This record gives sequence, structure tokens and C-alpha cells, in this order.
Amino acid sequence: MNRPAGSVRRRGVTEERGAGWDAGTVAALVAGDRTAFEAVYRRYAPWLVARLRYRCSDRAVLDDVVQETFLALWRACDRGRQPQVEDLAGWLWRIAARRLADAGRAKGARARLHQALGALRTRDEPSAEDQALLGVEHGRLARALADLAPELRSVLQAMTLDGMSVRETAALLDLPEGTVKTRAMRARRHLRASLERAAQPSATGSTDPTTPGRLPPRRPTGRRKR
Amino acid sequence: MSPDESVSPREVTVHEVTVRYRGVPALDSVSFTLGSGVTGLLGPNGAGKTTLLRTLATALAPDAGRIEVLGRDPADPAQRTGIRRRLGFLPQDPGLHPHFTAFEFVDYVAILKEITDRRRRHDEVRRVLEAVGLGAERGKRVKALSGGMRQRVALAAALAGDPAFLVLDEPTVGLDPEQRMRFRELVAGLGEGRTVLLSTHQTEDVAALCHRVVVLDHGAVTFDGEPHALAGIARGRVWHSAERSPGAVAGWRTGLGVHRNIGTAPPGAECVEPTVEDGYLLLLDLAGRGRTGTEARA
Amino acid sequence: MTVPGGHPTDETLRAYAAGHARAEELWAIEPHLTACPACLSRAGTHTDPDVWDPGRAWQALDVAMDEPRQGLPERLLRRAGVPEHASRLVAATPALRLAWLAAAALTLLFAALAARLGDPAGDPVLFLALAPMLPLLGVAFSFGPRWEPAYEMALVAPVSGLRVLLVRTAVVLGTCVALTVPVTLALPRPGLHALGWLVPACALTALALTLTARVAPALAAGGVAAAWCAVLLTVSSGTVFSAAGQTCMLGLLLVACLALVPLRGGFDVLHRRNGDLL
Repeated sequence: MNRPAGSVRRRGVTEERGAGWDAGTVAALVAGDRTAFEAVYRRYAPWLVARLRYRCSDRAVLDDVVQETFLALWRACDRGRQPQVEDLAGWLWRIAARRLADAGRAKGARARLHQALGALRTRDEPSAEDQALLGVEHGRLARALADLAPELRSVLQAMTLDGMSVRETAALLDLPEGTVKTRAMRARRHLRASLERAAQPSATGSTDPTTPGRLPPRRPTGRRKR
Repeated sequence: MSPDESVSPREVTVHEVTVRYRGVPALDSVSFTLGSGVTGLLGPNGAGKTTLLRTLATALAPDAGRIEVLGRDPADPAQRTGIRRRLGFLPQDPGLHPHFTAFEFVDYVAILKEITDRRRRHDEVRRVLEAVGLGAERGKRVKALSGGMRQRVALAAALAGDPAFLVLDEPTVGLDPEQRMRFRELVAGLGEGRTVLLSTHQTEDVAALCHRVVVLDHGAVTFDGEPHALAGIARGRVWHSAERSPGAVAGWRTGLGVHRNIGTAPPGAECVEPTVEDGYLLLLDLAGRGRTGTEARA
Repeated sequence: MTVPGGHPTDETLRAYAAGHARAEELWAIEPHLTACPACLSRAGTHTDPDVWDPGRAWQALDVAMDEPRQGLPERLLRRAGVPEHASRLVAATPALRLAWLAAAALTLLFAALAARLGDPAGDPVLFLALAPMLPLLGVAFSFGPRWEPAYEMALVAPVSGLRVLLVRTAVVLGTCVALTVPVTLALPRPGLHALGWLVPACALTALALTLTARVAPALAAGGVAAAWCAVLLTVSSGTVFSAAGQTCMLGLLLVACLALVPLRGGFDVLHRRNGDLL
């Protein structure tokens, strides 16, 4: 049985949740045990690096983001806050995405002010539409995404796949927020259209999913910073 | 660095030191000299051990007598600071800031020891915490640590800055046997190239750690020598018998069911090899304390 | 690209970890990895150590994790250019706890409101009497055998006790001034006159500090507070807060500061009488 990975997501959660996360490890983490923390780091940091590499080509920034992310975890444990061990990967990724966006932001007082204001705003939850998108059967989604213009896809990736806000996406991609909004709208419209087209038998095969994509992978990062 | 400092004398001399509290002498004309290595300071509670240690740690000025620590006189403010730069003091009841982590506390003490450069200081804090076996616990809050761990954090703080003279006031009190064993291993390693004064009322600590022992009783030195010499006081005066001998100054039933007696052996008794404890108990008795061994044991 | 059960193959994960996955493939792999710790671990094993060395990265993080967290007073001091080691001494000050500061601010606010409601035309005597006494608490609780848990260790450290006490008292004094100035605005007649507490506050603090060389800090602070109240009760408050009174206070401040110089040795040893030795 060859089930597409996309639809396995929810099943994966129930099956694998908390694997390796016994109560002892959690308690040790919250108590500030370094050995336990190192074990967590050794397990999650390589994954975080791999994921960040698709979004950031600057090695120094990447190292910083990884370190900052785990420092945030350490501090959260130290404050006695039990990190969401149920979804530690998701928790870490949210921190990392925010840090990455911060790194993309221009340095200076203006950026710091924005950050301070941004912290006051509640974070947007991923919309139901985005959730549904991630649930779409992978083959179809991949074809539809491959069809999408790169600049639209990078916006959609930051907002839907990476769970970033409009502002963070704008910072990451070095675009004005208005542009991000319009591109996100256009991207969703295009995607919906091509998914609908794919649903009609006559339209299948318009794009071949096995066609080698652009290699090496695009890194939709704000590379122009500094 | 003064030429004085480069020679770095390791000796600590106490000359006829007297300290009084409200007219009552806690130390009465105490004299001895300490050299490199671990020296034990034995004595019953109230013998003046803590007063002596505070005086040597420059926390307390004596009413009479003279002290010289590492070639300096603590009565002179400038020289006193010189001593303090090379001193590590573990007080009897070291308070730690409960909301600090182990690292933050030792870091705080290291600042008080004038290690101002942050990177160098943090490296030093990591080094001493590693040395006391708390490398993995350094991020934990002091209030979350066990008694043994807190004691080790305090020792790490005393060790910060690599002091040449280390004063440890009853560091093994309140530790369980395993913790005490670990602590002993630690202290044993500290005697190399340092002058260490360890106050205790555990004769086992002295026998295991010290190359020299000073016994303090009622504010006066009653013994000063090697541990085996202290044990030697009881040579020929310790014997086993089926019952507690009436002539013994101290005696107790051992785990093997025989009674160990200390005192003047009755004729025909078979003497056994004395321990430091036997010598110490006999010494206290000779000094006219009349404390029985059974009490001391309990 | 998937195995039965929906998990990505090793090959897929290797390509992903090496950075070779196509942009649209990320949409399948990444949500799965976030939800599946087992595959996440597998993906991690394929990360190229040349690109990212976990050992070195951990060492850097290990050191960064030791960095003490800084509270608000400490951060402000650092901003103001105070060296890190000096501001760290402040972090260990018991009197800089939030509860304590909140209580001080509330007390002042009530005194100011009472002045406003009671006699809008008269002098806010209660407020002017209370405000200079707040920093005394800083002296009492900053560095002594009762309040500094590691007092004996700190005492025999080469940094002098007076210096620690001065740093902490200065910060508590500064904090009290920062608390009191805005409350002054709530007074019936805000203006220069309402700042009459400032010089007495400094003078009382300096006096208590100087006395601490000889007696326990709490006793010194308490004694000074009692003396201040006695003066206010005997001499009319108008005199105390007049120009002449302020000049007297300024003189007292100078005398107390000068007296600290010969007395500074008293901060470096235990005192036998005042309860240092428990």
C-alpha cells in the first residue's frame, strides 16, 4: 500500500506521538538537566538544520537561528514552563521560523519597534484552507505546486508550510507586506484552479510529476540582507 | 604582582591567638602551623572550631595573638585583601541564593573574587563545577538541588579562582554515607599544592584524608600531629571483650557482638590495633571531659 | 517515495537532509517529519557533518546556555554603561524583588492621595516624611548576615563589603527615586517644592550606610528612620523642608559620606556584638 505522505499526517501524529518522550525526560528537562537537554538537541537539531537549509543559505544566520531556537527551549524549561512535548518539532519550528524572519528583517531601531509591536499582536492560526491544502493527496498537490510561478510558491510555502504571518513572510522574502498579501491570494487562486482542473479526468497528465524540477532546490530566502 | 606573591609561601601560622565572646574565651592562646596538604581539625561541638576557622579565613579579628596566612598579616587591610585573593572559604552553613542556578551562584562568588572578565570567569565557573561533579547540573536552580549537591556548589564557589589556602568548615555534616564518600574523594584531590584546613567531627574523615590532625577542645589545642600518632595514644589501651569492661572510659558493642573498650586494659586482656577514633576519644577523656564513648557514638 | 504505512524511504530522507528535495516535495516531507518523531530522527542522521557539525554546535550552545538571565534592573544598568560584573552584584540583591518594589510604590501612592484628599492647600507632610525612608529599606536588606544568604563567603572575598553595599544601595536608591518622582505628580501642588524629599532621602541613606560599619544594617536603618520621625515630630515640618532645613540635610549627607572613609574597614569583618555571629 503506497499511501501518500500528505494524508498520513494525522495518523502519524496518533501513532508516533511522544515517541522517546517518557515522563522522566520531560521532568529532567524542566528541572534544567543538561544531559536530557543534550539528548533532545542531538535528536532535533539536525532535522532543524536540514529544514532551515531550504530557507536560508547564509551559514552564520542558520547557526544563529538553530542556537537561538534551542536557547528559547532551554529558557522555557527554566521558567518551569513545560514545552509542548506532544509537538516539540512544531514548537521548535515556530520559534525557528520567527527567528529566521527576524534575521531577515533590517537591523536597527525600526525593526526592533516592529518586533515589539508584532509581539503584541496575536499570532494568526493557520487557516482552515491552508490545513486542507496540506491534506491534499501529495501527487496532485506536487503537480499543482510545480505549476505555480516560483515567486507565488515561495510566498505560499512561507505562509502555509512554515506557518509564518504576513509580516514574517514579508521580512523573510524581503517584500512589502502588501505584495505578500496579493501574491498569497493569487497563489491560492492558482492552486485551487489547477487542483480543480486536475480533478477533471481530461486535465490529468498536463504536467508530469516525475519531470526533474529545478535543481538544486530554490531557496526562497531573503538573501539580499546585509 | 609583588615579589612577595611570586614566592607564594604556603604556610599558615597561628601564634597564641585568643578570641573572646562577651569576655568568655572561645579560643584560648591557640598556636600551630599549617603546611601544604590537608590538615584535619577535630573537636567536639563548642570546642571553638568554627571560631578558629573564621579567624583564619580573615572574617574575624582575634583579640590577642598573631596570625600569618601565606606570608601576610590579616590585621593589615591591604594584606588582608591579598590573603582573600588566594583564599577559599566554605562556611559551616553556606547559604546559597535559592533562585540562582548553580552556575549563577558560583558566578556571583567569582565576581566577588574579582574575576571581572566575563569569558574568563564563566570558563572558571564551568571548571570548578565540573571539578565537583556538577557539570550536568549547573543549569539547575539551587532550590531544586539536594543537600549534597548544594554542599558541592558551595565547595565549587570556594574553589573559584584556584585558592592557595582552603578553609572547609564541617563540609560533611548532613551528608549521607555515599555523598560523604564522594566529598572525601573531592577533598583528597584538593590537598595537592594547596594548604587545606578541614574541620570535622568525623574521625573517619581525618583518617581517610589528612596527613595531619589538630585536636581542639575547650578553645585549646590538645593534640597536633599525624593521624597515626593520634591513634597511637590509644595503643595498648583498646581491647575486645564479651562484655563492657567497667574499667573502660569508653566502650560500645560492635556489630560483631563483641565489646570494644578504650581505657586502661585489665590484666590478660587482648589488645587490638587502635584507630584514630580510639585515640581521639581517649584524648578527650584525658583532657578531663568525662564524655563517654557511648554518648559520642550516639 | 513512501513506504507502506506512509513513512518516507531512507533514500527520500537522505535527499531531503542533503538539501536535494524539490520545492514541491517539501510539502509532503516536512509536515510528516514534524508529526513523526521516528522519521525526524532518521532524517537527522543523514545531515552532513561537513555542512553542520553537531558537536561544535552543541559546545557553542552549551556555553550560551550558561549565560545568566538578566532582570530588569540589571538590563537597565547595563544600558546605562555599568560593567557586567557590577550589575551582576545587583541581581543578587534581596531588596530588588518585585513584591518589595510594588509595596513601596503603593505606600507612596497612598500617601500622595491622602495628601490630596486631606488638605489640598497644605503641605503633603506624610508623603515628604515617608519618601526619604524608602531607600533605608535598601540599606537594611542589601548586604548583611540576615539578608545575604552567602554572607560569610561574600565577606571574606577580596571585593570589599562596602563596595557591594554601595552598589546595591545606589541601585535601590535610584529605584526609589524613579518610583517616587511620578508619584509626586499626584500631589496637590506638584512642583519644585514637592521634591523636598530628595535631599533627605540621600542624607538618610548615607547616614544609615555609615552606621552599618558599626551596627547591624537593619538596626542602622531602623535607628535612622526613628531619628527622622523624631525630628519631624519635634521640629515643624515647614522648617525641615525649608531652604535652611535642606541645607542642613545636605551637610549631613556630606558628613556621612566623609565618615565612610575611615570606617570602611568595618564592612570587611564580622562584628561580635551585633548578631553577626549566630
